[in-house]
Amino acid sequence: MQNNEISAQDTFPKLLEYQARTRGNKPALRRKILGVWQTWTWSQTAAEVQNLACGLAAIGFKRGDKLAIMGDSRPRLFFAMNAAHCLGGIPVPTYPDGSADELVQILNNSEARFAIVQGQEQVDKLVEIKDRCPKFQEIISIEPRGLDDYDRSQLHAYIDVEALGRKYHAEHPNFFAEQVNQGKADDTAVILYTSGTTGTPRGAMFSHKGMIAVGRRSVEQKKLNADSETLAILPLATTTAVLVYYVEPYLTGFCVNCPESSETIIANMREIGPKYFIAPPHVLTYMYNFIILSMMEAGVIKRAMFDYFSGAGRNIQPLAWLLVAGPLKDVLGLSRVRIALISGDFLTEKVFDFFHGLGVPLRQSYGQTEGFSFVTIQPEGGIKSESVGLPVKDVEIKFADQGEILFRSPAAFQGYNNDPQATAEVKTADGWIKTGDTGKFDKDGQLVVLGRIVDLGQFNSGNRFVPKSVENRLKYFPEIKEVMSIGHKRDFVTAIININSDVVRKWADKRALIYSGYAELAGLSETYGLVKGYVEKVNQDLSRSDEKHLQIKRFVILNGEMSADGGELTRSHKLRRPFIGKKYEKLIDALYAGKNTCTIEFHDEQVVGQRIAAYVQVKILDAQTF
Amino acid sequence: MNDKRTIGGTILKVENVSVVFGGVKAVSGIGFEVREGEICAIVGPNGAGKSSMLNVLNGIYCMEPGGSITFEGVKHYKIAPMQAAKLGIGRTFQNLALFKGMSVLDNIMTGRTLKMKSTFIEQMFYYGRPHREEMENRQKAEEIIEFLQIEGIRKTLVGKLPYGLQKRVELGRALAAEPKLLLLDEPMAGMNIEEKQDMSTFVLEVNRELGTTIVLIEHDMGVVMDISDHVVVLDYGRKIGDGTPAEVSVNQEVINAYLGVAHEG
Repeated sequence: MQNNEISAQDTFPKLLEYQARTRGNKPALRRKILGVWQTWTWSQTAAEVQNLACGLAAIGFKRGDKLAIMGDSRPRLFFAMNAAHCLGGIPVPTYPDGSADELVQILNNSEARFAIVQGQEQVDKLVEIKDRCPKFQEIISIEPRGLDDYDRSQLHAYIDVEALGRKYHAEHPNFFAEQVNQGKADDTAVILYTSGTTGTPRGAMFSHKGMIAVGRRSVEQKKLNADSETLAILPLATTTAVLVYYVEPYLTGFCVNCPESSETIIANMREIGPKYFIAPPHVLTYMYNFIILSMMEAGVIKRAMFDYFSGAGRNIQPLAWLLVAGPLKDVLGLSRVRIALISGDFLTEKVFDFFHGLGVPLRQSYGQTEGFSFVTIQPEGGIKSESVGLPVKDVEIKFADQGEILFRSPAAFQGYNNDPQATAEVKTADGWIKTGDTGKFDKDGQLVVLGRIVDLGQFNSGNRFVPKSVENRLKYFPEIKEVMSIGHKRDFVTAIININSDVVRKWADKRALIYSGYAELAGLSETYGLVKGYVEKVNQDLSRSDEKHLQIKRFVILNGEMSADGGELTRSHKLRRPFIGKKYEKLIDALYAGKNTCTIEFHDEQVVGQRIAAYVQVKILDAQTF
Repeated sequence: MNDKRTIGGTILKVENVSVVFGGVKAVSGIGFEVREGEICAIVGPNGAGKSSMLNVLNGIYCMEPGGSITFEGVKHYKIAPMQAAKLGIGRTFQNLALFKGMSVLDNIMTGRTLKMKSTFIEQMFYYGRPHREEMENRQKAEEIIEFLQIEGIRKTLVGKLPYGLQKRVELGRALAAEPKLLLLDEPMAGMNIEEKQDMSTFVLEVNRELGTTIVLIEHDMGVVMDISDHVVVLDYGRKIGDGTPAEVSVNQEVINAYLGVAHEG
């Protein structure tokens, strides 16, 4: 007899069947369409998945085929994950805004024959690179808009595939159930490509069994249940997103809400009021800036209340809660949050303190693609801004040379797809995985991550150079968005700074400064004055600490924003230091040669396919050290 | 973008139209034709009579006797603004004419005014027809919001938006009336390169996807050459060129008047 308990379901199609059977009329997914939230229940989800799976089979999807998934979080893309699983295929979620070269590497490495994408933008990109990917064939687009402009022989609209699926199911009524039953727990269930601060993307493979094991552990530790509604903010191409929006809901039955677009996150947060909130630092910083900017425009009384009570830090007085924290939490949609986690990079202290001041129990975590997301999580009673928590259940951590963090997890990845050499580089014979990060344990046994090993450097004097340490101090100020500090094999520290244009713009408008765009705003002598003040404040702080040698002697404000499209950041918003070092080589030389200006060349390829080179002179300023 | 439109017969025929302000002849005896499904650009130096021409088309200015406008086969000697809207002629303005104190959604909903039939009394009780109408019109407005990708600012007051987005909202409001002919008065004026690119894409999409015929005034010759099928050149209220972008750009009179005198060598 078949075992009907959830614990006996060992693949995702079986879990979906279980959820549809036990909680068929409960919501599984929601998305706002044409201004109204639409719901898919678990049984509707199961039906959609069946139609899509049969449709995929009808256009030639075979067991073992890879299905690339490109787009923001959309219910149909979640259906596609499961549909691929039903057919014994492997979904390969990728970033919707990845560059053509990244995409070519991913499609060729994964040997994907099929892709399901959000809309015209991704179709455009795939059509453009199709010639460079010999194995790649069929595209399915979930938004039908704009498809008529292309050759439709290998391009399908989602609704057409779905209709084909219905027909296929009517003709082969046993096909779907047979396919689902053929699925094994040890089959590879997903390939996720690492964002890669260096080098080419590598595809980590995970089995159904491993993912479900991590999911069970995670559900238990976070005390998740069927009410733990969440908003899908993270891009689907990360392990954390797959864990939180796919694995955990399938195990507990909570509902995943898809935001309308990345610009509507704050409004959608407020409408949904999630209980389980997980966000990367840049989204949290965006929410923080949203409040700070609104406060700059607020009336005198509101501003005075905000300044007074947000100064109170983590001690929440009843009056502060009533007047400030309560309403702010409501605006940000955080009133109902029970579990809040930061995923990805470090969150600066100021933003961390802000959320805790509101009473949002934001916890730090440390995740690795190879460990399928979380390796450490802070316990409820041990929240602090400088560490990332205790190892999660069944995970061991140790340190190798240079303090490199190694971890071992029973549910770690199966290896990199088609790349045994890279697998051997990262995974030791006895199962330890090298993270490339360096760290230590603090006195409570929590892990402290110091940064990427490749980023750490040494001054000519022999002192250790920890770039993150300087950068995080500078990023404390809302006007500063991104900083790259330089000091390896040098005598002193210099910094390349990106301003946060939203905040600086407001500041400049108040002072009636004249500028026409980002570049001019960044180049204003007043902006330089403002930033110089912050740099010197940081220097003063550093001079009192044991990191005196990290004081910034010279700095420059960049005339353009560092971005993932420009190559300076990874898709998960981390600095790509080697790339920046190379791109701004001339500028860095000028910083150390004592020059006061530097002419840099930049290309703007966005202008209708033309490559326009422009030259801009940026100023370099000296900062006082202490 | 592959072009799969079918450019049909003449949808708009302008014959011998003149506009006079006191002693000044802003437009004198102009005639041109716009075919169904095309993008027609009207270009010319400042004061050439471009905006006046559009104002005649949607009834804001009266033309002098002797001129006529034939829209969809019906000849008009005089058009009132309301009549133009009812005929299916929509427009946007050079200097934005939005309701700054209203949200983006409400602004777009005002574009649906002509589609609402319920009476004031019915609206007061908001039961039955007004309710149904509101749902239908909201649906249409939301489709436009999705089309123009402005979901993030649906509830924002228009006055708070940057100029480029306000222009997009104005386009949205014009689209809400589901016009057959859309008049755009300098849709890209005052925009930076990125905003211009976005706007050009939207104008093209409106034309290609919704099949709307478009007459636009534009100064940026790059944009005009890229997106339009047909260019009419005006100078001092006279028509000095009419044809495809390629034809117009080699017309000597046009070059002298507008693109600058060509130098040899």
